Amino acid sequence: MLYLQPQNLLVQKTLTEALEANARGTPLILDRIISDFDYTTLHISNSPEEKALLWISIKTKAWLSISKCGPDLVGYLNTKYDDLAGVSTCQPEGGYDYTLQVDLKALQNDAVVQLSLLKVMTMSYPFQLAFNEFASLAQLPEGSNTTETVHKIEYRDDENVFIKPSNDRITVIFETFFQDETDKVFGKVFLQEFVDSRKRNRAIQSAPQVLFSHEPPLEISKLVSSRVSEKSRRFITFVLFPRHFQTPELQFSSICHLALFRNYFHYHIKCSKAYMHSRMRYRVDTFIKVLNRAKLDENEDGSEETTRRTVTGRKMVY
Amino acid sequence: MSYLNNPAIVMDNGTGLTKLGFAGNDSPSWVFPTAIATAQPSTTKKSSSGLGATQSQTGGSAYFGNSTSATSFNNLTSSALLSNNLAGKRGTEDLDFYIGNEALIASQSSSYSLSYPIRHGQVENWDHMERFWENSIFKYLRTEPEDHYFLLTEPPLNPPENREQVAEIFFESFNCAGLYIAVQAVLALAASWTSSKVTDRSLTGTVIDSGDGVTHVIPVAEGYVIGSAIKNIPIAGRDITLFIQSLLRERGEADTSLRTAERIKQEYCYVCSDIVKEFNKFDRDPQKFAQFIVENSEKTKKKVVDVGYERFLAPEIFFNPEIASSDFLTPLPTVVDHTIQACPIDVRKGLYNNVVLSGGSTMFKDFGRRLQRDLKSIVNNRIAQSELLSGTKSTGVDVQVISHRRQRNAVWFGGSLLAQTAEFKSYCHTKKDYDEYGPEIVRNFSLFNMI
Repeated sequence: MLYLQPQNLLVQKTLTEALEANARGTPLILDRIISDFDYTTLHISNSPEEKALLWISIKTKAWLSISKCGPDLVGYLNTKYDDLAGVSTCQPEGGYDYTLQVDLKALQNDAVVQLSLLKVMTMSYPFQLAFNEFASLAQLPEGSNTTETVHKIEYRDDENVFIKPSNDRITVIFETFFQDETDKVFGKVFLQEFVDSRKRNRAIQSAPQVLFSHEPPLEISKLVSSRVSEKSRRFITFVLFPRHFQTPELQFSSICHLALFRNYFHYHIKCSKAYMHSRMRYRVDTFIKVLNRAKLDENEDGSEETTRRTVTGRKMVY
Repeated sequence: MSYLNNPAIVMDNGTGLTKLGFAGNDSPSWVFPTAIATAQPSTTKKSSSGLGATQSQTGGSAYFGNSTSATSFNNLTSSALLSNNLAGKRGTEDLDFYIGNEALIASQSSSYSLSYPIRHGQVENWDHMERFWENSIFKYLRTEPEDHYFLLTEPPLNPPENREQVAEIFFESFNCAGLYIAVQAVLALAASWTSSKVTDRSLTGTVIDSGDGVTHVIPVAEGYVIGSAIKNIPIAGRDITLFIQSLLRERGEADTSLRTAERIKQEYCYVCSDIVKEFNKFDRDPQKFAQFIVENSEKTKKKVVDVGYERFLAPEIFFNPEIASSDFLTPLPTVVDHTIQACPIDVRKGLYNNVVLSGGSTMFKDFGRRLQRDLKSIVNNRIAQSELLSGTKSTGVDVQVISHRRQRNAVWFGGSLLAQTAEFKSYCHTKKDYDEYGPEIVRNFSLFNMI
């Protein structure tokens, strides 16, 4: 099905090409702007001094809010990327939030995927913090094991993600807002389906529980109280239980899915519209066929007026 | 609003290849065939699970995104939902498709059928095109269409109804922030501004657009295409490849596949100034003959193919079509001359002065120089004749053919160039305009008036 990969295909392709070209001894001269979902721009360029050195910079709208979530976002990303051979961190390029320097001579092929995950890695920081907080809360005795912490990612103009760790679960709440009326209708059906399919289908019982509401859930009611008046706001809540983030692999796949949730969601709204449109075209075609069948054969009664007009005097077009 | 900082998306959907990318880049990010492989309703369910597995293995790193484990999921949902609702009964075939290179791979199995939604530059199948766009925007470009402005291209003489269809899809399905539809020939003219020969950035000129299937000669005056004067030549890249192949076959070379012929065309061919002299040159100097080594899939055997006269003979079919075809015999420079002569007299000078090349089949070395020489001699003959007849002195007509480094993706590059300018967004129609006026708004776009 139309599954969106967590890594950026274009970054992956560009780096693979650069790597191959470098191996052939003809390093590419790159200065590319690459875009990703949610106001994210990546920039891949050669370092001014050395052609075999590439700079990969990222600028994303969520950066400011993510860095507020925890003490050291840059440090977190550094630990993710420092182990890779040929990748080192450097001063952020002007206008960008974070820059990695890649040495094509030392870069391994599998590191390319890691590099193309840069955006997801950035988004994963607050999730990682929540996982850590969950672990420490679960250790604490009953009664003192609650926290007020809610991580907020402002990833779009008026849409946010809230992550709230507690001692037995992690709650992830998406605040969505539809600009388009049609989208709103499709979106509602989809979200309702997210909630219902879990009840209906026994095979996916282990998936996180999904809740859908018009009112902000209690966890975040204090944070969004000012905007409650807006009617078209929706809240989707995912409840992650320990089984969804027991191992680092599970943690990573949960993060990938959640980080891409909105994009995936909107992608499928677009797809269903496309499907509707194709049904409409099909319908119109069959109606036209019916109309054509009702057309009088002009040869039989040539005496009649050949062009028929509507009441307003316009010509009928078949 | 923050989408103002996002780069605009430039999409050039051609008959053969689609070029996708972001404005401001020097080359398209993705170039892949405008092909879509759709699931065939009856056979999908049974054979699909096996296909998914083989694909992810064979595809490997060659094409990114072959690992979509599409079909195993399909099996799960179709069985689970069947009992519950109507949508389940209809299935999810509409979501089961691949585009571009992935489509070519998928179509090798029997459960997918391949189709090309664009014929002769115009969209034929809107259902397929809509899905092609949706996949290219979300999967390949990874953008939210609501956050970006789009620049699309259309062939000259595209009916306005097609424009409206495009607008309906882009504004209603995708809710794109803004849309500009540009004529390909005009963008090719804009791309030529990178050449050092161009001094004034005008949108007047003759565009020779030669792709794989057909070659167009399109006169453009101040940004408007002179539709009545457009001429087509049925000679293009594919004919050159076939001609090389036939030469190889005649000589009985070790490998005469279409692929080899295409590689020879791309790597060895050039345009000569005089065909007879070039033959003599080759006979005197055996160094001119090249050898092309075909690399086999198993690296053990290496075939060697000699490359001889076809190095200059193949591109020659533009200038002497009689060597390859029997039904079309007008050389390219003559066609260009006829095209310009069919235009209003006041723009002809500008059209001769700015002949711009675009498309992969104009990439041969010295193609522009030869065209300029031949065109000049035609024009000079005519001037000499008219001077003789009228007895007055002519001021002369300057013929200039412009070739530049971006020729291969000239249309896309021109789009990228225009879409990165600050005023691009003011020329677009926005979603708000569309909602206010409806699809007929895209019948008119204001032209870029460049400095």
